[in-house]
Amino acid sequence: MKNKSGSFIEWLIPFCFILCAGWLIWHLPAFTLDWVPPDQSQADNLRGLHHRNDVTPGMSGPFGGEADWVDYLALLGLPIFLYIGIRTVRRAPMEFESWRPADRVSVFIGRVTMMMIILLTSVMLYEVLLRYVFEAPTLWANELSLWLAGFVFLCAGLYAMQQRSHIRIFLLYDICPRWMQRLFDTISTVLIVLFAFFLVYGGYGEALDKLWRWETFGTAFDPPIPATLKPTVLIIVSLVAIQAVVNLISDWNAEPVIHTAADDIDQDELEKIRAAVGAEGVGDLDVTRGSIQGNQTERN
Amino acid sequence: MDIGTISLVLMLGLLVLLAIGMPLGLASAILAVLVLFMKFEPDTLFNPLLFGDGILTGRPGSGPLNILAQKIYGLLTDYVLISIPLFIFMAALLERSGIAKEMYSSLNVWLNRTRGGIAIVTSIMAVIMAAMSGIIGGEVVLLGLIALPQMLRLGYNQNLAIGTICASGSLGTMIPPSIVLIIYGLITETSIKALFTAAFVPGFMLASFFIIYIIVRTRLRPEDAPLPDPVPGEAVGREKGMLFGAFLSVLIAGFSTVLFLRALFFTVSGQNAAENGVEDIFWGTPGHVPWFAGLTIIAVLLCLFVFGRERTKTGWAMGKGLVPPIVVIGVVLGSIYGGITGITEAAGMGAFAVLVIAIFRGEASFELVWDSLMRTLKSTGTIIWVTIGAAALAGAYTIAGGPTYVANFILGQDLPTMSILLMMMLILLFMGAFMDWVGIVLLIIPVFLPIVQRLPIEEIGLIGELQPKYVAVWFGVLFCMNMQVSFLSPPFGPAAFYLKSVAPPHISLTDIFKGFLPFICIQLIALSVLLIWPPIVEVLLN
Amino acid sequence: AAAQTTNLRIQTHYAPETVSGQLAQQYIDDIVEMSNGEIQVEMFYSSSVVKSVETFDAAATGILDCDMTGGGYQTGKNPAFQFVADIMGGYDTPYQQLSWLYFGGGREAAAPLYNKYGMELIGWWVYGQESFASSKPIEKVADFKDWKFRSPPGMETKIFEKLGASPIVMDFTEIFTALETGIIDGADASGLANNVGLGLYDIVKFANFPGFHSMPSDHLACNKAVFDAMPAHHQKIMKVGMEALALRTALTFEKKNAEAAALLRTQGVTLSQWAPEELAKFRAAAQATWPEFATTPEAKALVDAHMSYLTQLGLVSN
Ligand code: NA
Ligand code: NA
Repeated sequence: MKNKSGSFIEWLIPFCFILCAGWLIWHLPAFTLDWVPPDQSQADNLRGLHHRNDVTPGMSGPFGGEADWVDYLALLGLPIFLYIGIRTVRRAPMEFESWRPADRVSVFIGRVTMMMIILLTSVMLYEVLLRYVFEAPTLWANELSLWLAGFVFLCAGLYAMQQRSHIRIFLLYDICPRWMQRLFDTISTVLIVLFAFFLVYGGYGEALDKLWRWETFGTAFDPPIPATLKPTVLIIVSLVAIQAVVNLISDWNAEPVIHTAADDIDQDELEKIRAAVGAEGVGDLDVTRGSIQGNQTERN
Repeated sequence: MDIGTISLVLMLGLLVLLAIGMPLGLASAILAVLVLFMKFEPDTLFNPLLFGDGILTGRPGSGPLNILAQKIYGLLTDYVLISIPLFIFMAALLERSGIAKEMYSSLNVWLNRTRGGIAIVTSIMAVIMAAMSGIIGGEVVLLGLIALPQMLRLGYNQNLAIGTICASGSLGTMIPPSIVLIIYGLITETSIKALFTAAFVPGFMLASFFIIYIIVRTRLRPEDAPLPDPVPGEAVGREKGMLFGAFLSVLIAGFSTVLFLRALFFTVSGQNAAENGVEDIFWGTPGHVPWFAGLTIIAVLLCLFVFGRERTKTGWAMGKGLVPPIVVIGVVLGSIYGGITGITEAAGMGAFAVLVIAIFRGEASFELVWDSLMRTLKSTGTIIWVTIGAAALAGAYTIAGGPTYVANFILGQDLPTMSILLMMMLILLFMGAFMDWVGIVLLIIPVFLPIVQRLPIEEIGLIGELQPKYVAVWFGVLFCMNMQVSFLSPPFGPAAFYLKSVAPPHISLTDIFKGFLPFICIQLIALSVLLIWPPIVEVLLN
Repeated sequence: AAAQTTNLRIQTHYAPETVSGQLAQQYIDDIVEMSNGEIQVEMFYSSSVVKSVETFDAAATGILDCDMTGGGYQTGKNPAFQFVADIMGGYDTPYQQLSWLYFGGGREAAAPLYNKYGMELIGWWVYGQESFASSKPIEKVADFKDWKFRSPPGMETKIFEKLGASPIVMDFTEIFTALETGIIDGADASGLANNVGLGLYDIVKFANFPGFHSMPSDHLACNKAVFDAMPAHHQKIMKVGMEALALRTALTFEKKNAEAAALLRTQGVTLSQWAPEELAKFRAAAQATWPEFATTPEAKALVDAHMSYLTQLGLVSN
């Protein structure tokens, strides 16, 4: 691998992506009003809300209407940064070694989520600083953290799915022959897809309504948490189901392995921790935990 | 379908899906769908052609199925949940810095001439780390890397070494902060701060049981813990005591200076001006300023004239590795108990503090942050998605009338209170042998707690009586103690596998589990104390 | 022929052992008995199925049938819900507020709002003015200067910012820790009797009584399709039962709050009664905030309805 994970570009692109996505979400009512305006009463409410929140008030747009030049720029930037992000994301040694295009998407979303964790922590510290030292609490930090965290929790699950790190019990699984394991995996995957189907089947109405009406949190800062997070739940769970199918295909020919509770500690991570504590005299590592990825590396 | 049948099918379904290795969170989620079908449209299960006719599937985009999305959304907007990625982030940074290694050296230097010293140091270090972070895994790995080679090289009994590391290393979720207690508090709507406060005494009790066991065992069987050869020129006896005194004085001088400046800041900015009926800022009133100033001066004088400059310098060099952990504990627990932040923000403060310390130590790099973030992301996804699935299942099962049914069923058996509790403990211990704690807290506790809350309170425990408002808190701590056992219990005690991943190859898993036996007994004793004397959780609460 | 039966799943945010929880239970008992068992209810307390804020949508989408929380949770949907749920700085007593609902044009104004989101408003029950719990005296508007308090989200934060306070939006569950440790000076939780039950005055020793700043009305609202499908006499039983609940609630809390006040005084809790001119200052600040919050036609219509009724009652003079 030429570039290792964590290079400058892997920090930069997710940040640009977040910038575009954040801008777009904040100004989404402009597009709603231009493209699919709701009924008069909701539209008035939405327009009022958008004018209060507009970061670039009064700027004109290329097509008239509410959405302005910067909004369209952000709209353009989003797929561009997504594309660059997917192309430039690098697998870290501690990450699972399945590397299909679909995996790249999940891992890039993971990178974006990592940046959001930084933002989340910063927002929280800023609030503590303002409240404790300057006695001037904000009205937005609490809800902004809540909003960011919602995305972090959801996207982390997609990443965990790609990384095969969701909690499973291998008691019976590991002693079964490989063909039976394949059968089990197929059943699991079908059930995951079914869950996603029923979730969307029962929930799309409310999610779309809230997105369209731009339902907010009903507070002073009033972020559109229901409007954005409800649809995101459906989207991410669907992506998780797709990832489950991708995993099933990717792992179909993998050799059987014995799983342990320590699987989620990677050898590379261990090396780094070892270096940090300057451990000595441990002797050769006994790799009982050998994993699917180990076998795949050998095959490739 | 009646709720009895639904409950039975649900239990069997869960067993089957877990057996075939389906991810726990998603297994719960699809079972939530199954429960909804059994409750609202059982016919469709037998005749899929009916799909689209009943109240469940008749209105696409709406209907009872929407509870899945609603429960997930509801969970995602829970503020306390944010503390989980933050605590994981903090632990990840901590593991990748040299703070632990230096703390070990600084503790070891004072106790290396004591019988069983390294084992005691390991336990003390585990307690300090447990007070910093709220998860397990990393601690066992760190102790396995740092202390295990030392103990084995000195010829310590292998079982003692292994047991000490894993049992003490699991304390992270027993001594606050603890994500086990956070998740418990979250789903039972119990005050997490009350849970933390209540867990201190039982947590330290368990830790002290470990240390007492080590001391007694090594006195009785000195061959289990040989003393290292003395290093020529090393301080011993009284001189070591003097050095420790000097180190302590520096420590006190440093911290009282910080508190002095804090109180001074409040006084100058007028934030602590006395007002009628207003509670004073903790250790931050104008009256505190001279006290802290005096304390600083005394400590400095002690260093200069009693212990002497040279000795102070040596003592400081020997002990200074303890400072960063104390600072981190001060930031996290100090924020929570000193009125600066709630638990969620304290976790963020902790992560920040570790990062700042790493910067001062010259260890911080973008790579360090990057790796820690990646670890945070992975572990967060793993934990939260079990929570997500369980939330969906809990919603579906509640609307089907499940928890009420189970509670009535168990209470209807007319069993003595203590046998109900003992039965619950057995179930928890059994589940703990096979399942991750997140799954247990999410699937079992919503069913167990309502039953416990309906038990006659005067029959809970044998000594003393619990206050009714603390029943949920007590049960939470009890549950947490159960999970301590689950980290060690075969066949899936995670601590064993964490240690295995860093232990020399000749130590097999069987060896490791053998080493756990006495420590599991100690954990069970601690668990019995909680059962017999429930008010132990109220010691700090009142 | 067998009588038509109605099965309802209702969720309330109140715990079954609280005063409000028991009042709700009595309403359920009432409608079951009055309908001779033709109405059957599965009641979910303490928001055990979905979060309180989600109850309305859960009923609207058919997870539940009825929502027995409050309209105040739905202001993010439409700010108009603020003006059917908690008209801050409006009415003084539950009786005035209820008279607006039944005789002052309230029902006519609220019905289309609920219908718009697929729900039918059955009725209201109002437990009266809320009291603060504070670690500092709160006797006058000036005391709000730099007063850090936990505010429920919504219009209240705006009103109190105008009065110089620092409203902090935090989760209800964090109130206790925050009060204990001084992160906040005060909290807006519930009425005096309920606050005693929550243990707030074990932590801090100042309150105001009678309250003035907020008088939330809880509602019973049912899925419109479900309600429309009910036989007419069931509908009537549900609605008239709510009228009984409203009266019973107002009377119960009148007594409970008075008892709580007497108890708190013996326990050394300072209860401040606000002077009329101070109350007027608050009312002015609140009413100046209404138009800012009323950004939809439904909300504007409701504010107008309130204004004219408040004028009639002599609570507003212009
Ligand atoms: Na801990
Ligand atoms: Na176990």
